[in-house]
Amino acid sequence: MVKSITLGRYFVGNSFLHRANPKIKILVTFIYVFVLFFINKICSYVFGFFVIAVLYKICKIPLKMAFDNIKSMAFILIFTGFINLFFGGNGEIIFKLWVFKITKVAVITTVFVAFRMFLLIVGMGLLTYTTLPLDLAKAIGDAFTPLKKFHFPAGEISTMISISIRFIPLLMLETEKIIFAQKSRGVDVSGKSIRKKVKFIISILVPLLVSSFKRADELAVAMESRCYRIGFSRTRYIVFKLGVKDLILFVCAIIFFVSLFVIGAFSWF
Amino acid sequence: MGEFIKVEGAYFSYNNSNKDFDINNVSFNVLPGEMLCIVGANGSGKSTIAKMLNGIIIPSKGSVIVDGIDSSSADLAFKIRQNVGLVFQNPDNQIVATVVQEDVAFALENLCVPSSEIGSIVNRVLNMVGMLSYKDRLVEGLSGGQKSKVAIAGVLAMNPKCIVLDEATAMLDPKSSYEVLNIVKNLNRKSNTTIINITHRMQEVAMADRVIVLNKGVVLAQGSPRDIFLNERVLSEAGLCLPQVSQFVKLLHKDGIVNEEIALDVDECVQILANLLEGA
Ligand SMILES: Nc1ncnc2c1ncn2[C@@H]1O[C@H](COP(=O)(O)OP(=O)(O)OP(=O)(O)O)[C@@H](O)[C@H]1O
Ligand SMILES: [Mg+2]
Repeated sequence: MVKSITLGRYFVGNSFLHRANPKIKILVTFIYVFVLFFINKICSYVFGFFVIAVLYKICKIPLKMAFDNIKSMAFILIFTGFINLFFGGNGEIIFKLWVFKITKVAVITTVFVAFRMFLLIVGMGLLTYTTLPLDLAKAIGDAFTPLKKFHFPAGEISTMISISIRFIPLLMLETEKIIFAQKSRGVDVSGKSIRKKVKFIISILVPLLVSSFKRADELAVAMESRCYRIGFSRTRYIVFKLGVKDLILFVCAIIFFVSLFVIGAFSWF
Repeated sequence: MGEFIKVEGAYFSYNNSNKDFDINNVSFNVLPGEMLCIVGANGSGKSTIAKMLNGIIIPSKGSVIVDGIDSSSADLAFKIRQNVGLVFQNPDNQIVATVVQEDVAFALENLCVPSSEIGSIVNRVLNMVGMLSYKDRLVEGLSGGQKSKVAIAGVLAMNPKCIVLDEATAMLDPKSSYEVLNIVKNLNRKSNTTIINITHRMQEVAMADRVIVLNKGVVLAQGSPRDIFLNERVLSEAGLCLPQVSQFVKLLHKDGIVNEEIALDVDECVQILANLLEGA
């Protein structure tokens, strides 16, 4: 279980999307989310899904993974669907029971929202599956760089993010070890009462905290030994440089977005 | 030739007490290009000394001079850390980046080496430890030995004049620890890097030029591996155990079978036995 989380949602590969500049990928995803809000034709949705499915194919990511994602978010999706359906609009009522009424507008909105959510999750998946969590974090961290002028610790935050990503799997592993150790000492893990549950959680949390502090202590010494200093400027080894390929990717994405609108404008549903 | 590191009357205590010091009046020198071993039981202060050598810990009394720089001068601490690289026991607690090459680059980034120059240094040091083909790999997927090599590469990247290994091989299996030690030995021979190996494995002591035995924060003895191996009082007081080949030759000598008092390693033992058989 722990092993499956270690890489986050990243799906190892070497496609053009894997290699693309994470900053561009984030930007494109951002525009994509924005565009989705303005699309309200089924035809566009279907075309959009088709293109994304092809991209999944090219990146050799099983589309099933995207659907699994949707499954894990099913509750939120169904919940928003219900809200939309019952409270989503005025006008012609097609069904009514006590305070609940369903209007034609609401049905249409619900369908659209469902399509949007679906495309949103599948499309965002493309970003998270093809970008290392670390690169994502770095690209986001880079966004803070201009704030350095205002004494904002942008570099430190980047370092912090990358260290957190490095240590999350280690902490997971440690948690698992502690759970086993506590189980073998007879800590009741199946207790149903709140008291027993709290006791169990404390029995995990305390050793985990102690070992994390020890780890942090050692890490701090190791970092200092390698000349890390807070508040001093450092250079960056891997800088995400914009290449021609990234520009092409960006242009292609824009063409895709425009075509969504064009298809929408020329179709009836 | 002057000494590279000079520790003089150093005292240190973690809980600021003025009576029981964790490091108690320790003095020793490290010569440039030598391979030094520091041995001692658990809690004898080895790691504390290691941290003193690169200015992470400043002695409360006495001094540590590295390459002419006093470790207590705060604005030059940077220079000392670059000159004395520390490798610790658990590589998981010293690797900061998720990808191998980025971790190796960490110190270089801190030293403000221009981005364009980092790549070639990273390649060079990864090649030195035989991990070049793992450059793009995630640290998570590496074995313990591989992680240790990455940790060493990360220190080598600073191009230090001295490397301190604080039980860097303690978590490794014999093959991996042999590989790691070999890397260090080669560095010592080829680039004349000073090596300080902190260990409790007496086999590793055998390959040092000089040994310092530490006990309860005090230097118990200094000398060549042979002197230390022969000094039974020091060995028992520091709680150290000779390698089996050494014990074997020692027993043979006691029974008057061989003339040699001790063997440092297997090769020497084989030589002694060969001489014995030839004579018979
Ligand atoms: N962070 C700390 N806080 C308080 N006391 C410490 C700390 N680190 C070490 N000590 C104490 O200092 C003494 C020397 O510890 P040190 O870690 O240097 O020993 P060591 O020789 O490296 O042992 P080991 O072989 O277990 O690594 C010990 O008595 C230990 O209890
Ligand atoms: Mg130690």
